[in-house]
Amino acid sequence: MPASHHLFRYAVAAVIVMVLGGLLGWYVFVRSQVRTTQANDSARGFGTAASFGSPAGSTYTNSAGSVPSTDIQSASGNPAPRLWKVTATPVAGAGFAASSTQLYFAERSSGNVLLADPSVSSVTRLTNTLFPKVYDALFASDGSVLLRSATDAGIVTTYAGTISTTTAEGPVPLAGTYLPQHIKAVSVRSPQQLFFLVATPTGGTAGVTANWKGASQKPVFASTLQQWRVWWLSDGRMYVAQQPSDGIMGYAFTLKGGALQSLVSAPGLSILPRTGSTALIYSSSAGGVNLFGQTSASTTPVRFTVRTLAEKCVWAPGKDLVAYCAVPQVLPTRAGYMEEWYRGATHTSDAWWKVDVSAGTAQSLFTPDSGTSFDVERPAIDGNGSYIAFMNAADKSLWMLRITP
Amino acid sequence: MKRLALAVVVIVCAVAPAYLPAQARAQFSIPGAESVLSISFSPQYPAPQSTVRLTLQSSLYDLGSSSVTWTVNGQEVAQGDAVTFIDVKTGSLGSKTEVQADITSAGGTAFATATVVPTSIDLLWESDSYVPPFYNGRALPSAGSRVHLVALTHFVRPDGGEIPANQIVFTWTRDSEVLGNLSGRGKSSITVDGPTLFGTETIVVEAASVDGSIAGQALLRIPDTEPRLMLYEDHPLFGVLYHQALGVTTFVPKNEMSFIAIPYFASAVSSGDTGLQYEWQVNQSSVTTNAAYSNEITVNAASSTGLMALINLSLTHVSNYFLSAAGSWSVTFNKSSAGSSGGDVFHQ
Repeated sequence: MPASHHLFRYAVAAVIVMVLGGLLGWYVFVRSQVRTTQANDSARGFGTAASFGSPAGSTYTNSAGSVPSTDIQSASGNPAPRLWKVTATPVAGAGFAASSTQLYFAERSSGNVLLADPSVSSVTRLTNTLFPKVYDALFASDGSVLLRSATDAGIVTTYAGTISTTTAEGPVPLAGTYLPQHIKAVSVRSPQQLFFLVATPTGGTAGVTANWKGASQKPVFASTLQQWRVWWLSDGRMYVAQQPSDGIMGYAFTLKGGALQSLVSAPGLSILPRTGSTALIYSSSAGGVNLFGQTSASTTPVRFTVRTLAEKCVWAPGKDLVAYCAVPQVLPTRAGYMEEWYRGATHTSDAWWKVDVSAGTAQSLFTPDSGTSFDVERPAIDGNGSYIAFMNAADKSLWMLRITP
Repeated sequence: MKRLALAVVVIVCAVAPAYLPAQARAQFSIPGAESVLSISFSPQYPAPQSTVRLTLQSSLYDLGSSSVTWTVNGQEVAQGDAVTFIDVKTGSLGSKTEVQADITSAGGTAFATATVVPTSIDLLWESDSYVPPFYNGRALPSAGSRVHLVALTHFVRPDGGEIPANQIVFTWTRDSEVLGNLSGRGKSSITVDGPTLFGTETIVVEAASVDGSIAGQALLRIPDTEPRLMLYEDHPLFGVLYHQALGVTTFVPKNEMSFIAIPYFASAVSSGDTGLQYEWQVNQSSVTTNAAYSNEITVNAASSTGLMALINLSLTHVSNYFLSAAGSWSVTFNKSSAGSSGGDVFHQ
């Protein structure tokens, strides 16, 4: 066999080996790149299950599943524990459904409305219309919701939405309309009635009642001031109070026929009026916080032994003048606690107390175990007085507490 | 001996605004005797359901040696030598308390009467200084801001009718200076400059019904408040986390974060007001920010040799030289667990 022939065979073999080696190297390189690409895509959210794959969606599931707590159990179909952390996902607000212990709430990140049912520990997403960065949500008892946000320029927007009939297929769009901009304060009176204050171009505010679409407006209040809180109770009574500041005199009024009738005044005043009576709970913050109650407008206020802000309390339904108050377990002694709390600069770990305004007494209702802490804000109670829902001001998570053990 | 009976009118300038004019009965009078017996009030403008001290004064009679009898609404409540004052509990708004003091002295007898009609004025105020949307507290005034005030009068006549604000003359005083152009009939609300730096503004409003029969007064001291710079995370999903102000030392479980400074109580219309000048420093190095969002910065520690960022921020104003605030925060990032939640939903 000629030498050239051998040389040719070696050359062919070498080429084949080189080609195979090249192909193997290419395979390894491509495989590595695919893995990297898949990892990046997965990190960015591509290829994961759709948000609405579960009744509540992935945001809720991921968050709720990542928070360990002995008092907490994830949705299981069983009745919720006495203290139920409904969601660790930040919420914008919550409200009970009429004649039910079911609780509507709105996600802060999406503005989606969800429904929590403590009887089966379930959470169901009802709407899928995106409203990013909702800072405040108020509910009517039929699930209609006000979603409040702010533009980069600080202009407050308010969307009044209603939930169309839900279907078995899952969430539905939230239908509604935007109310006027610059709404400074708003109160919801079920079903679907609003009392809100709009900043006027010349300064001051104009207060109107309106339907859920913002129509049929009726002026009920006008002021050259803008920093008010408002209440429109189910019995039709209206209240306004100045936004409080530590140590600075605040005034609260009953609004009747467009006229302001003095209700109470105190430094750092915060009030909680009660529907169906003139009983009142209020707090004063001036170097320390004190909580007061009075059974009617004409009676002398009683100072309770527990010290907390009135906005951490909620009236129980029924004839008895009973309220439930979240009380800091360690009393804040710093002057200016209330304002620091408003600014998110301080938080407390609260326990629940039952306050009897008629007797002027308070007794402990529920103290969380050492591994659980919540700083109550915006408490609400269902129509039967079975559950209290509240947000944790420290992280905007949503909780429910069954009142009876 | 013919007894001298003098009836005098109480000092009108001192007490008449708070009650109906005193009634005088005189068998005869001598020139100048109108002011020799008077009743003064403390407080000058009694509030409803409060205690008011009525003090008898005279430049003619020696009250220390006189026998005095006090009658309130027809009932004798005090009698004796040198009983020159009594404390009277006022009624509710619209109530009327008739008071009479009879004196007997070596110089003769005299009496003075007065009618107490309690009033109240709620003096409400707020500042136009900056607070972020949905802030639950009151905006407090800092140097350069303005203050809005409203006087809500509760003037009820004994016949039950409340006097509306447009039937009341308001006289506003700031630091003892009458604000003539802001005072007048029906002028129940005003806007004034806020207190000066480190100063305190004293606002007094006197209100009187057009006929002068009912009056009241309210006083208010408004101290200057320093703007408070707070630092928050501006989260891409949740927005500004106003409920989680960063403390002086803060640990964040990720390696990048956007911060937003909120100048509470600064004289500005928004936190990004073009007049506000934010000067950022991160680890002693000045940081230039987006001019449109000068109150925001983003710090990324991914490629940094250290994990701690010392953020210094100072705030001034282009034209308001009294506006000054500063803050310092030490933020420690978690480089190794970027994207890890650690159970904190805000940092997923």
